[in-house]
Amino acid sequence: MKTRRRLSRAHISRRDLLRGFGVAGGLATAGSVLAMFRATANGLAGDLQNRALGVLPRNYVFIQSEGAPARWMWDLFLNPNGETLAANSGMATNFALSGGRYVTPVFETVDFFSANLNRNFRLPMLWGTSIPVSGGGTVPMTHLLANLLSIRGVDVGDSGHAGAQAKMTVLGASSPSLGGAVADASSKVIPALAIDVRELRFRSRSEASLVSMNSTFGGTNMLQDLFGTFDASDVDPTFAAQLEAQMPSVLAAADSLSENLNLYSGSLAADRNKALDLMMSGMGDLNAAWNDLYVKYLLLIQRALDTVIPGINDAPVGNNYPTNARDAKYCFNSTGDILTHNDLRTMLQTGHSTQPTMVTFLAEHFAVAEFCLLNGYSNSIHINAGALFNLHPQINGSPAAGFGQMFQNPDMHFHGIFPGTYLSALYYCALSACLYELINKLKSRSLFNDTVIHLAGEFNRKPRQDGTGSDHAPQASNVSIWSGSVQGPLIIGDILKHSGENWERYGDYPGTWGFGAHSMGGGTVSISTGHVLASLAQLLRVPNPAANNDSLIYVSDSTVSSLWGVASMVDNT
Amino acid sequence: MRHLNVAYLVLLLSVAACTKKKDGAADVPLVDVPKASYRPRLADRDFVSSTFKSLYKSSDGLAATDTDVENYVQAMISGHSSFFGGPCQYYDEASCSGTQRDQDAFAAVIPTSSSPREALRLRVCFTLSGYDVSAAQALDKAGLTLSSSGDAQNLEAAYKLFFPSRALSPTGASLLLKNHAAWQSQFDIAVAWKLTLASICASPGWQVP
Repeated sequence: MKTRRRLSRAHISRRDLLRGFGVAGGLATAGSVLAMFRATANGLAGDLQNRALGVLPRNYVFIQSEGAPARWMWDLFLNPNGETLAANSGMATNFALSGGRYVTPVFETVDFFSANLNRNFRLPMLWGTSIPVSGGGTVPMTHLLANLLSIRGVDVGDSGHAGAQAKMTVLGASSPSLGGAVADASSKVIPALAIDVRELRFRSRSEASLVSMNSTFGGTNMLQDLFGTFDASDVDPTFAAQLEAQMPSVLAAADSLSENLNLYSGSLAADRNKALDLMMSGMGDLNAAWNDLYVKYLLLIQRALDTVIPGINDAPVGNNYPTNARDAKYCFNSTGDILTHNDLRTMLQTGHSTQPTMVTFLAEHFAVAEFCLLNGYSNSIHINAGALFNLHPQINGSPAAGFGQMFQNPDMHFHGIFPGTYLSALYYCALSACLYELINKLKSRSLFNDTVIHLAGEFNRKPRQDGTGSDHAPQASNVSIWSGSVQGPLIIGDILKHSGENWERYGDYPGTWGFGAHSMGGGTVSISTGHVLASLAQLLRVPNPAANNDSLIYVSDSTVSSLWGVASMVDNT
Repeated sequence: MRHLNVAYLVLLLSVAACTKKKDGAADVPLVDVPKASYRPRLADRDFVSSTFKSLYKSSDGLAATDTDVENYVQAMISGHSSFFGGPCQYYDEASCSGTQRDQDAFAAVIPTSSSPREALRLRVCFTLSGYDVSAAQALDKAGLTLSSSGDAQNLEAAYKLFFPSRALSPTGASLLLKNHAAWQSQFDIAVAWKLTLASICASPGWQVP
């Protein structure tokens, strides 16, 4: 893999700098010399104590499912109580076998008994499979349900990607965002972190800082990018010792010089003090930490993409008549190109020597999230769920030149039902494996009860009946929330049996695909983004950013329960 | 006009009176609604790196260490667009090329404060103020040397290196004077100037344009 050269290392080393200034020897790190300056504590122990008292917000992890991929095959539960779905032949969870090949997309479910809740749930077929865990072996994907809160039938109120993305964590221009509200009460070195999150509207009451980063390809050590900044070893050790002796006077003067500026803000001084704290304490071996975490998640993703899933990829995928006779159900891009693999499984190659199929930045993002949460460096983290890349599509009987590197665009307007179903199944296995690993790590440190993981795309999708793709469905959004404080699966939100209430009902998008029923406000409105944010705020223990909306859940010391009863399907036949 | 204003006032009052929660919930006083505030907007990497380079490089640009300073500041400030924001300079190949360009596409137009940003800035302050050559080059811009007297006039001139358009407050002047004298007696005058430079540089306010 290509590795990005870090400019700070590539251009000049500390030794070069010393040599340039005629200084020889004395390479002791300033980190140790400066250690006694520690002005602030990391705060992890204090946080744990305060959380136990119910004072601090829970940790917040927002995972942006950018592009709004279809989720009916994974965490959109259309008929958890066994309801009969109205059919839409453009929506599938897996394939039916015929003549030894998967040639018919079908929507099928599995039954799951929740010991938590002592009842059965009917779930999309994918929940019948297993996901890899670190260290080898697998566990049933249903392990993820034990702490899942699912809110469905949400009306986002915006059918455009950017507008809907902006509303995932904040409601109005004057309200703090969820991550901002958590950061307001944070004493962490990095009050809030965002990596590769699009249109994030981070707002804080206390001017808490957001560190916003973007990934680059090639396994760049993001811990080094983020925390290597605190490596103070380039300071001349003799001068560092003198600074050590005089730091209180230096900082007093520094503060005084900025004090008379009206624009001077407390957050600047707070950030500077936290920076000094880490510069002095040192960060340990970031390369070793990165190798452990990044490789762990990378391997999980690779193993997940190699999972053999009955009904998905345990037989050749695609019909066996001449591939040039295929229709738009095999379409893969907006220019109308039709995949001509004899077996669609060959488009996903994790073992490819130069372009192994992977999920963009998923390993990097989860590695950083785990590092920050477990070490107490940040408790407001925003990451991106990525998408498949390095796929190997075949168009017109040969590998598509310049196309293999292309991402699987999660905005699946033109993903025919064959590649859409096949690729989504494996992608969600990879995402599930990462989620399960992070949750397990949080549990091992007793942090999961005080953590909320919030997964949301801009909206969900409405399947075209002819199987040629799917389009934006802002009235059918769903949000998945994991927390140790949730006894799941807790599913909230009423949906309509027959798509939308207007032209869609008898148009190209019939059937049950999650359109929110107007069960609220006396039967006039469906669940809105405001209700979701209010619910998340309650779970996070932060002020409700949606003043006009109530929480959908009640959170007590030991349980989270629905204020809206059992999720139901409204038969609007 | 007066009638319009009265009508507008009545309209505002009626809107306020009708502000209720949806879904049949009880009214909530608007004062309880959390309001967001905004973080201070800071200078971008171009300003910060230019400040460092213009101060710590030699006046004539001929010193052997100028390249070191240039590269160091480039690496620490310009190369970290995630934290310092600002567009890459079109004519500066090092900040606009290759993968760096990918990062730059998402760099904040108007950056805000963060701990990593402050760490990088402090490292540059402490590193370049700590070496005789670069500290002397900075003082030279104020007509000073590492052996200049630490009097009020000279300290104000040093202050102006980082705050060229702002007046030094009496409190700040007093602290600089007191610190410089103490450091001179504890170490020597060169160290006193280096610590003074570090103090001024470490002051976060010069990043607020």
